[in-house]
Amino acid sequence: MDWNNSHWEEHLRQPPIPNQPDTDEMQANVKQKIAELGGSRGSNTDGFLCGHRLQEVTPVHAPDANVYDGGDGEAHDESTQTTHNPTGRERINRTVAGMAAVAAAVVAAVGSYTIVSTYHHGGHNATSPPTPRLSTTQVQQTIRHIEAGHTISNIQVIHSGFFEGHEFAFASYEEDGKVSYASVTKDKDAMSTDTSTPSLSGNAPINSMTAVAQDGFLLVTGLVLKTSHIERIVLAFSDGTVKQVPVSDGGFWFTEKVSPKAPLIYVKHVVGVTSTGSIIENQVASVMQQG
Amino acid sequence: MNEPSLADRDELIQRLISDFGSDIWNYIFSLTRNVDLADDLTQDCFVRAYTHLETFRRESTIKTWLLKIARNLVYDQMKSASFTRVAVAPKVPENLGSTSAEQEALKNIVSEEIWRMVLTLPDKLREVLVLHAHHELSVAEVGELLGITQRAVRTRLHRARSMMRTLLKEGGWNGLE
Repeated sequence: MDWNNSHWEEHLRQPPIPNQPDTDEMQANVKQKIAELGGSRGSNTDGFLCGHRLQEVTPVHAPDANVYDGGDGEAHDESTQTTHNPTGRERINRTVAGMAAVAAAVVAAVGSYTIVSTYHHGGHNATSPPTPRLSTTQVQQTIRHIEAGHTISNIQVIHSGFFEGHEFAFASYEEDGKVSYASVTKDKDAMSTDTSTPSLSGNAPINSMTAVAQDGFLLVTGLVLKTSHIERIVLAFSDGTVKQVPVSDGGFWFTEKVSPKAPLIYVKHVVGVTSTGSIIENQVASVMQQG
Repeated sequence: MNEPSLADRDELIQRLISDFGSDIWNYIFSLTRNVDLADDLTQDCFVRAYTHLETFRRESTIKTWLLKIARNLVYDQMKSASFTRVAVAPKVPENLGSTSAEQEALKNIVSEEIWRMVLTLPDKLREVLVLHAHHELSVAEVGELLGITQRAVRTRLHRARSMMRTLLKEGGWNGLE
């Protein structure tokens, strides 16, 4: 190939990896996160044109009406609530001023992007969008709980983030002196944990284990013989896909969420690539299907 | 400046995602080297853009503004969590099929290899190189985004290119450096 000095930089116009995000999915996820914030009423109103519109209403006798709690902090569409005093001495018709819908013209010309938006102000300014992630303490507690009875040490949270909308963490630890891995997923109220303790048998340079949970959670972990000088692992899956993961501290891991409806996916081949480029192939490996 | 239209905030965000979603994702990925985190933080970036649209001052382009939000999120994350060591590789082409397909595949392999090297650069050098070479931001725009002088940007760019030349040479890509 004919190259000049700047050609390598032209390659950087390509994306860093070929598997690019699906913007449709991104839009859906952002929309969901915004909805979780309470929709557009989660907007910070600082600097916005914002006001309350009061509405007069005709008094209505409503003997069985519940007392309206106007202080719930929730946004309501433009609405009128009637409060009835059981003694009957007075009737109060209350226009819920604090909860009145606010028509706000949000005008922010953004280059070629122009916004004029109407939103409802809920009587409070929302905070920044929350991005909860499992803390190290939560992960450590979960692992110690699930491995009760074993001697657990050196718990290291390798990754903490989100997986399919759930808080997710991946950690390594030592169970009775053996390197083990745990994936921890937080559902609404519970922690779901998968653990694996790969081991090297005989002189096998690589040993990996695939755990497939019923919800489609796929976890591959493994160890390599340190004297093998394997730096990277290529995982060939039963559906034909190939993934590459680095070896770190003699271990490797890979996790992916696959559709529960899809056929069982497992690792068919594990290939190790050494620092000198040599290839060490292993026919794999145990597959454990979990409930 | 355009006159305000009736397009609402939701629609705008959807459009921003459509136009810049991949750019933001790639930028975050180049900083974090983590696919899952890039997914999460890209979504957070647009949520934050949604809730802070009014803070956009038009002193920069919308893309630069989004990149800045993304950068803040990444650095917040860096302070609070350790990073995964997993790197998800693309599918390996199973059947190259034709000569043009082979050339395309070869080109992709070269690009991937160069990106792999870029991702090993120190954070500060990598970021400047990616913003300049991939996102095609000017030196002034990079400086504004990172809050550093143009001179500092040029220095980092020079060092990044110099390191890349060394990496290319070491990797046997002698014609490329």
